[in-house]
Amino acid sequence: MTQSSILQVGSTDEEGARFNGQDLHKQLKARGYQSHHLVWLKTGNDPDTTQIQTEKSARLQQKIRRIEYNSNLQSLLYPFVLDFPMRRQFQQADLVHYHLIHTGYFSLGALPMLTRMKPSVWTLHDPWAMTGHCVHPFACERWKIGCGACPDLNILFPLQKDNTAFLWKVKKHLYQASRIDIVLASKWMMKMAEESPLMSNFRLHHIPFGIDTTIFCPGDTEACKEKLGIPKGNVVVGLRANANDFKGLDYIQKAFDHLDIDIPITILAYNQKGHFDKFLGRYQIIEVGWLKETSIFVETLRACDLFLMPSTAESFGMMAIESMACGKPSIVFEGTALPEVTFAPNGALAVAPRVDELVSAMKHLLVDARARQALGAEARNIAVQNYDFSLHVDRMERLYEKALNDSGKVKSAAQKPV
Amino acid sequence: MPSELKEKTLDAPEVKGKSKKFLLLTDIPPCRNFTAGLVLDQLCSFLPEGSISCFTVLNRELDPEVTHKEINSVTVSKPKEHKPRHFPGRLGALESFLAEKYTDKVTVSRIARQAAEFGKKSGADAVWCVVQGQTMIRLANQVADLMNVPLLTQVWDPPTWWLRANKVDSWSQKLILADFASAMSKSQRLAAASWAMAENYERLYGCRAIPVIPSLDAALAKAPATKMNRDDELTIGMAGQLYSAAEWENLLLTFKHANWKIGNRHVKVKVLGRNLSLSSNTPMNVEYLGWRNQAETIEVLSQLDVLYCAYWFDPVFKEEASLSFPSKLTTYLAAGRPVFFHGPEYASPAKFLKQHNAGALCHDLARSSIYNELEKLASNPDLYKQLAENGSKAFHEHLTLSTMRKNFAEFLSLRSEDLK
Repeated sequence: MTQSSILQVGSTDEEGARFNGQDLHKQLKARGYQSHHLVWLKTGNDPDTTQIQTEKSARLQQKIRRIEYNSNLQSLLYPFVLDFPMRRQFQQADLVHYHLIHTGYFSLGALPMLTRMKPSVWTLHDPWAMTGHCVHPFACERWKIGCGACPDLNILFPLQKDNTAFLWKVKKHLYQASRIDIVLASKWMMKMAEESPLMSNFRLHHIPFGIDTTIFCPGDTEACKEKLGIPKGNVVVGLRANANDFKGLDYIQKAFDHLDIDIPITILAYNQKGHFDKFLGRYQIIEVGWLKETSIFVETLRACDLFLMPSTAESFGMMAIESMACGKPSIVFEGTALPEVTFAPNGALAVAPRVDELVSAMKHLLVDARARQALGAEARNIAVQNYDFSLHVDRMERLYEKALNDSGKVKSAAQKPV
Repeated sequence: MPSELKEKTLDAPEVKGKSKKFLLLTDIPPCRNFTAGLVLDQLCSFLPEGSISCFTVLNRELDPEVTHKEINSVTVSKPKEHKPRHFPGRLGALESFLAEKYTDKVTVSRIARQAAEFGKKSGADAVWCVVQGQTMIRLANQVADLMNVPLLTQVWDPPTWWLRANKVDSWSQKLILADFASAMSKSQRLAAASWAMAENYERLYGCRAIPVIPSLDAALAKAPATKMNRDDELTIGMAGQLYSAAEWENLLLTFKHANWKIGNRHVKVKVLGRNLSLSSNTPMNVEYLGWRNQAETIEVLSQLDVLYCAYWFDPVFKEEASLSFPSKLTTYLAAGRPVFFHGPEYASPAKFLKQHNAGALCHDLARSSIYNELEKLASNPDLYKQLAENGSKAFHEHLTLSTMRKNFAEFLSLRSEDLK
């Protein structure tokens, strides 16, 4: 029996597996699809994941990266996907689903060709596809009118000179020649896409990311704390320490600085290390880095009493729903996708993006264990009802079916996967 | 043991027991003021009088306080191993390559002939060569070949570290590493600096490798500590060469961020060694005690709370970290105080300490991890006592002169009773 063949394309497999296509690929395979994942860099050992990068292309990538930076271009000159039509995995695919393609290996110039060859879906993980250069435009609204006169060229991905109007135009031109179903994980992103002139040619679909809520689930908090060497009685604050422009690290640091509270606190920081050194001795600091092993990651989330995610710009907020699924309340900032994604005030506290507001919300949850537990229980329910991975895959399946149907490449009922 | 190993050992010419004489070919003579010299001093003490002659190829900038003056010795100057480059980039590399080539073909060959002549005159039956740096690597095979006697090699550290530190160009490095591999393969037996090195080199080069680890007289050892000295203080000792700069810097930064306190304890660091370079624009609590002899070092260390041993996290040093064994660890364990090891999990001292549960291990460069591990050790009296006890036990089981003597006899293919 012939089964639909879906190809996921992205930057890597293990890091961010829950949203970069890797887990989706595995679930589709489990549901009977022929599924493959093409990644620029493979770090895992899934037999149906193939690495695009070679030793030679890695060297070339570095050179092109420099050339693009010096000529103020972004994701236009990389030739590495031009051979997709010759690749067996692409040829065999009924549909291709693109994920993170703006990390420096994919040329947008290939989109018209590739998307005309195969029905295509593209998940936008941030607004970069709608702007002249930045991953998040913050308060700037020039992405709605063609960019140019950029107020901040240093935001990720930075440019040396203002070439944003040109890059915006190039995107528009290439998108107009492409056929893509766009997936957006939050209504916040959906709204942005609806307002974006660049997205006008595409069909937009709101499909939130998902997580396995049987793995991300509440557990024995005290046991997990003990395993991490956290003294009994400490209240554990989980957070993501990332010094980029939009993860809110500065707010977190200032909040801990201003926090005047007589409760022993443990800061459990993910991702980058060293951002909380100034608090050594004042709070217990545990920096776990980037955890590859899901089971260990879940154990650390279970050790938390609350989770801080005060991003100043966020398209979805995966870590917030991961901690919610583990029964932990979050504190997020208004004005991003997070209040909507966390269903604040039911599953999280959403506050105005100010240090004093953050401190006040932290104090409330640090002091009031009952409030933490009630909010955490509600957060868990919300996560199960809205973000279970099976729901995500169901929604993706329906989208794939629709895209295949519309392209006339849908398999007959008898040929659908079992 | 692989069959190839057996054959090599059986084929090698052996001279019976006491009549056997060795030519010690080394760049540091047995002495009392350099780590390598101290180990050689101990090893030479095991050998009966008249069974050894020593040919030293000495870096003239060093001033060893030579011991074993009864040994028939010759000292010659070592050619410069760190050659200055006058040109940038590839031109500089070419300059280095040509200079290395000249040294190899002219200077080292001349030294090899001198050493072989001296060895023959001394009636040596085998060359015992300490293989350290490009000069000694090149000499090992040449001298043994010229004398037509078996080669016994002793390795302190993998050669890559030395070559990198002396900025030897990559072309010369390839040739030197090939010479090193050849010397290892031709060695009748090899004295390795760690258990991991012995295992690794035996597998790689097919020669019998015996761990001859820097050891100390059991009589110098102190009884294991049962508790920390004071309730409000944490004294940390560091002795010997400071090779892991990034790790050391992070340790000091940890204390700086924590206002020189771990929990409720004020931190004091005491350093013993030949040199120490420090700079700080904030208060610091470091006391530099200079170089001390081994007995004095152990005495000082035994009065502190925790002893700091760092190894490189930088993957560039992975080979060195995996295969070398710091002699300071022997000293620390003899001092009877818990060791705080700061380095990667794959490091050979980390494996040793883990195996014997004889130290607090911090496998992360992050300052928060350093703080947490030290706090765990300082706040848990049972753990503190247990680590000190286990460390002392590991020292007495594996790092005393009697173990070293036994392994050294095996390395020289002598019976234990043939040694002093």
